[in-house]
Amino acid sequence: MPSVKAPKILLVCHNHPHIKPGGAEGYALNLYEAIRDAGEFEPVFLGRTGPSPMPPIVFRPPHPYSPITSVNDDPNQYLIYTDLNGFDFFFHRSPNKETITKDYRDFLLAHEPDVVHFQHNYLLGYDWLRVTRNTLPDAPIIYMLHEYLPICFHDGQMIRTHDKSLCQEQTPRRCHECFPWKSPQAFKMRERWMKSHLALVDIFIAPSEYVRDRYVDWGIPAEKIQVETYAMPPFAHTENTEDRPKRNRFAFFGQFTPYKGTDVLLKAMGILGEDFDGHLWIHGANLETQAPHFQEEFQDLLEKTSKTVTFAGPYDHATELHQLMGATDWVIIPSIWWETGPLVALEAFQNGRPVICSNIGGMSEKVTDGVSGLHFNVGDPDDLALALKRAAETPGLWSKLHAGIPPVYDIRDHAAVVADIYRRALAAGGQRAKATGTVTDPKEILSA
Amino acid sequence: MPDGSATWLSNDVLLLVTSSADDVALAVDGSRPMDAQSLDVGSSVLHVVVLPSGVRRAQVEVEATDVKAFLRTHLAALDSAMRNRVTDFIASAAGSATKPTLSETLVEVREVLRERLPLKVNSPDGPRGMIVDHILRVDDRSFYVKGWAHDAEAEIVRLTAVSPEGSRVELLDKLVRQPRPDVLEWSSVFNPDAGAEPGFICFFELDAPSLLHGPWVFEMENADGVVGEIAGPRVTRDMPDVQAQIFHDFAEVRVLDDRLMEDHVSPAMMRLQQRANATIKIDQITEYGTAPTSPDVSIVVPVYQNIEHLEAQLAEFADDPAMHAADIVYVLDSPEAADSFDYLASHLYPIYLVPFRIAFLEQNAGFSGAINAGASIARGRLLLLLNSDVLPDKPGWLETMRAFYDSQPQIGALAPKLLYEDDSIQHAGMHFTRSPGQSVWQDAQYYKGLHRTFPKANVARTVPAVTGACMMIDRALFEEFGGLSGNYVRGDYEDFDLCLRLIESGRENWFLPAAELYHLEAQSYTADLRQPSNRYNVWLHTHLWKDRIGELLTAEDLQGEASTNDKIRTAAP
Repeated sequence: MPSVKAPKILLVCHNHPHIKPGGAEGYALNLYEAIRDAGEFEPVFLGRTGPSPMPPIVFRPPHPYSPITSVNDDPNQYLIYTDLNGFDFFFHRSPNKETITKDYRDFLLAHEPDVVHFQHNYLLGYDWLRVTRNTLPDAPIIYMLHEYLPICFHDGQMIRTHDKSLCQEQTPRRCHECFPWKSPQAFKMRERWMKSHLALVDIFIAPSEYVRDRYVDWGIPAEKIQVETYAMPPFAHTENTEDRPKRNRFAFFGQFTPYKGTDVLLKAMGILGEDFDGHLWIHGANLETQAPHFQEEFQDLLEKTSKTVTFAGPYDHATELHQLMGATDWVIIPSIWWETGPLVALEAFQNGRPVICSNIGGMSEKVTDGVSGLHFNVGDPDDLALALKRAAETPGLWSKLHAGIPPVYDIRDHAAVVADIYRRALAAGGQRAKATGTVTDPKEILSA
Repeated sequence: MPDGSATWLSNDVLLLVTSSADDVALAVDGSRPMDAQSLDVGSSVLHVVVLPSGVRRAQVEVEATDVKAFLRTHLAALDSAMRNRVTDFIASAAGSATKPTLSETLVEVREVLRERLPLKVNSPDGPRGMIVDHILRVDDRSFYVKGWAHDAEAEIVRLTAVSPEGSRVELLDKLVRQPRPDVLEWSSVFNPDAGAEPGFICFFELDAPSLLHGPWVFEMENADGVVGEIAGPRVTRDMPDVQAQIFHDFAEVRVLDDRLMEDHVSPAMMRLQQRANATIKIDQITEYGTAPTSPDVSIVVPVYQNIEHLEAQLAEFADDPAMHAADIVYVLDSPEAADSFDYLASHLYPIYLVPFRIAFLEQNAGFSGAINAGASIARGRLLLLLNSDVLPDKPGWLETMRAFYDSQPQIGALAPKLLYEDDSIQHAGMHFTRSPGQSVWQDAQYYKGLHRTFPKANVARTVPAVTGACMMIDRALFEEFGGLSGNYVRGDYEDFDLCLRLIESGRENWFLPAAELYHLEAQSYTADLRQPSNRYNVWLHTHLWKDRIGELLTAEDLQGEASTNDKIRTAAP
């Protein structure tokens, strides 16, 4: 148990893995446990529950008079229920301010954390940052940049809506082109609003260089952002030591969204044809919640590739992933968006699987082409087909890339770096710049 | 006084007939004589007495008879012209006591006495016709009508409007004619080349108020003595509908005719504005947090419809100490949104902690009305008029503006650089231009659309006018000038009007590029609503200022060549 004097860290997250598994929230809980186990700080985890665009959807607070409730037996894990009535997905804020000015504020005052570490503001709202600052003026605010929602209204994907091309340049004009019914002025107002709240953050943590660069381009001061990549809990399994004569088994793990590139992957399998000496397994969930045209195209592509592709469907992450990874040789990440620092790549590496991925953003940063995996041109089924063929048919390639897999960053080491960030923020606490504004002297104006 | 020689038109209006023009021998409680207005109708004299306030009908010693019996006995035998004079006289004389009940009685008087002319039934093959499309009530005594009247056989020599109460107004010498291609097409007889255009628009005033929706009567007579009448449509009384209808008529006119504008459209619009301005009232003032009691600056922000801009603005204000020291007054000009705005404000204050007040207006007042109402409760020595969609680029702007304002003894209005969302210039001072051959002065923006760093746009200097979207002015000066003019419709040109008045009194208007704000306007732009009012405001601004714009400003000002003009002051004395 942490000592009573340990500084308290509040981790705020848009979800709790207890409610629904997910990448960012899973990482956040892993971080919580690693910080707790290290003992120097006492972490408190506050995860959102409530209505959501994706199931499971919780429609009422757990208790009639308290939106806050504990999770299981851990005195430092909590859920906070927030509704989505009138939620503004453009500015990303809720009209129900009492959730933050009363419930969340009371929670802060009760716990008095020394540091508040935001993991995600999705479905919460960016004004949570200001209430945190108002309530605990001396507590540093740390913010994990899991995604690009503040920058991009297109679900933070930074993909243009009309042609799915990649976007690295957010301007009111270009955003208006993606969403013609929203004026450029409205996009400027959105950007100003996001930045007015993010300005209260003391230190941002970016999971990749790529994420940091995007936020610096967008206007966050570079000196405020520290790159610190994702990490995994220690590998709980023995390494897969199977020896197959051929390394031609491919697998996809993940959600079925239009940005994950499953269509690119299936088209590549189609190009390779029925005679291809290799097989693809597709593991994932939530196909049924996707748009009908997406599901239709997916089914159509599956039918055309039925000889070489198996649709395996959902799997249990905790109990099945290791075995499924063992049954494959290569893990494919064909995302057509940037990703931040894909956790599935770390899982593949833990299981000793080289990764074939799109050559952009967080993916190409995590997987080194020709060392720990192969890159292909993002969104290009022909290039992916070539990579798959090469992977399946080049003798010795798998073993070479297998040997090139880097050690997976251990969450305990990661937590130690994050603890450094907390210490640094706490030390700077008193010197945090207070906004004063720049006033120009009239004499200076007239002599100019 | 003989029995039957008097009748009550209402509780306080008495109609009498006597044999001579002598004083009316009428007493209250046996003593006090009263004034009457009289009309000689030939064999006798008709008197209208309006009881002074405080005198009740029961106190007047008179034997009165029923109205209809009175009219039949004393007036029915008069000729039709005299009977028309009588109804007009009674309506005018009783005018000061007009109430709906009196008006109802006056309709009866009119119907008993007036000569009914042949009812006009318009047909495509008839030689003449008349229609009144609408009657708009501008105020109780002034009306605006639009219609058409055409006679293919002889010139129309008389067009008379008769109010329900019997007031008669000749329209022919006042109205302006309008083309009516629809009427010419409909008729198989009317000749487009003969005589005047069939359409007309007319603003007119009555001697007495008219309170009823109808029935109005319109009479027509041609040079051959052929007469006829039509019934007018129900009067449009609701002010927004009246304004919208005038704008609608006006939008159909391609080339603005000065007579149409000066004699019909602008008198009607200005009276409507006066009526609207007279009713502006703050319903309630609510304070969120504790607003400073003796601040340097009061910021007045009118809020119309887009109440959610409050959240964006407060988020920008929160980290600027100057905003916590200022007296911020939001003026809600959308009364229907009062509850939502109050809810929003009370929930946003605990997040942003910038104190402010909201003045909730009883009804929509327009930009100038909202600004003037907000200024009336301002506490600061200086006023900053600010639009709700203006967001500062960075903290410090207000103090920069204040310091500059205080450094210039002759200053009138001061405005900063305003930016579009893409960092191009929206406002760097204003001037006026006139297109070749055009009479109207258009406002024009210096360096519009150029980048915010454009060197010529980064010189502090005097300019002909500045925008009201973010304008600083001494509060006492603002009050001395009576605030923003209420003549313009829906918020347009009153800022330039104020700037010209300031120049006329020897003041200077300054543009200050050292303060930069974004003006994120047109997020909910409804072009069709603004377009006619803008056209009207442009005309009105030119009409009110005419050649004085040319006298007050230099040629360089007018051409927008400020950067090369050495008369422009760019340095302190």
